[in-house]
Amino acid sequence: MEYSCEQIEEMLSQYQDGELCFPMIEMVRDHLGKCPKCTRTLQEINDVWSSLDLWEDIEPKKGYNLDFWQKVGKEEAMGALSSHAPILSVVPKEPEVASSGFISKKWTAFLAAALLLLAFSGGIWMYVDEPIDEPVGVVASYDFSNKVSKMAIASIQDETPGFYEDEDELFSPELLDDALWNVPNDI
Amino acid sequence: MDEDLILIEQFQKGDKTAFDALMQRHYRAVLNLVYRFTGVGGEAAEDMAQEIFLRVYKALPRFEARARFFTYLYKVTMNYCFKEREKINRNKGKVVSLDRKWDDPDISDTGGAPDPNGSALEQYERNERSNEIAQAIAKLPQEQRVVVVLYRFRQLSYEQIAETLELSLPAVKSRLHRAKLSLQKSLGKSTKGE
Repeated sequence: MEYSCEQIEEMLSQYQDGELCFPMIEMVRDHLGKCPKCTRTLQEINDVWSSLDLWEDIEPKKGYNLDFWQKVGKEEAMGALSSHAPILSVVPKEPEVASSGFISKKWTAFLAAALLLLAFSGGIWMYVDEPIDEPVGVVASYDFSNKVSKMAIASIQDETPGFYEDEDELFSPELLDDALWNVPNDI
Repeated sequence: MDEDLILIEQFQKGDKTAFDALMQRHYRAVLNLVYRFTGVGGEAAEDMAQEIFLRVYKALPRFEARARFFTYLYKVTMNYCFKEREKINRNKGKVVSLDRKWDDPDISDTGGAPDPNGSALEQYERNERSNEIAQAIAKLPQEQRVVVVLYRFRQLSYEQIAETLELSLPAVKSRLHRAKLSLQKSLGKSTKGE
């Protein structure tokens, strides 16, 4: 049976790929031996097909899998991924950025709060120790400071008797300031 | 047993290193499918490839080994790429990269490392030719382009392409044949001149 050039052209792709059965291969080969037009078409298909090699693959960037696992880690942290308990984890650990700073800030705040509470409760204790009919509270804290000041000044006076005789001079802002820097250790 | 399926089974039991190994086996293929289906290279292609693997990572705990893993992976890749391509087309209001140079840094990275033995002129000519090929393939209808990419650049057999695309074998042969004739028409003249 003789095939037309159109029919042969339909088979050239499979012929080129070796996908035809043996009798068909023989038949196409016979036709190509006699037909320069189909031979030229096949040659062009071959050339074009080979030239596709010039469109080269691109290479993955280095460390692409680390990037990937970081994305997974982020999604897992946000709860976007279902909990898939790992036996072995390849997720790289996130660097501990400035965590110590955060902790120290927390501790500073905690210590400040503890000191304030201590001062406040100390104030209350000293306040209720004396028969004072003023309300306990912020005033007590103020009075505690005042008491400390007076004790400090008294301590200075003990060291330098007769120096501060005037009560107004005794409680001048400058002196209070100075006295506060000399709070006795035993209060 | 298929090595992919062994790794999937390990991953399903909780071993993440198995997924890492699976990704290393297929990352390059997925990256290049992205590159050839969308025309996007460089960092953008890497982002897309990683997004595809992230989707697979999420879906894999429910994966059932009814088909080979790569057919599933390539299907996910194609669907993702076609959606991305549509998005790009919508955003740009035109068919992406058909009328643009493939070496436009905004949309593409032709990737291949320069040949240290070739002259600058030879390198330039290779790049030009590579762009022509990329554009000619981009101009093919989508169903032909997919077959060409899978057959020519991923070396899948007719049967594997039929399985991946859920097509009959004659349909694959027909699409490939038409694609070859189209490419011969668009690239044939310049090939003859070489």
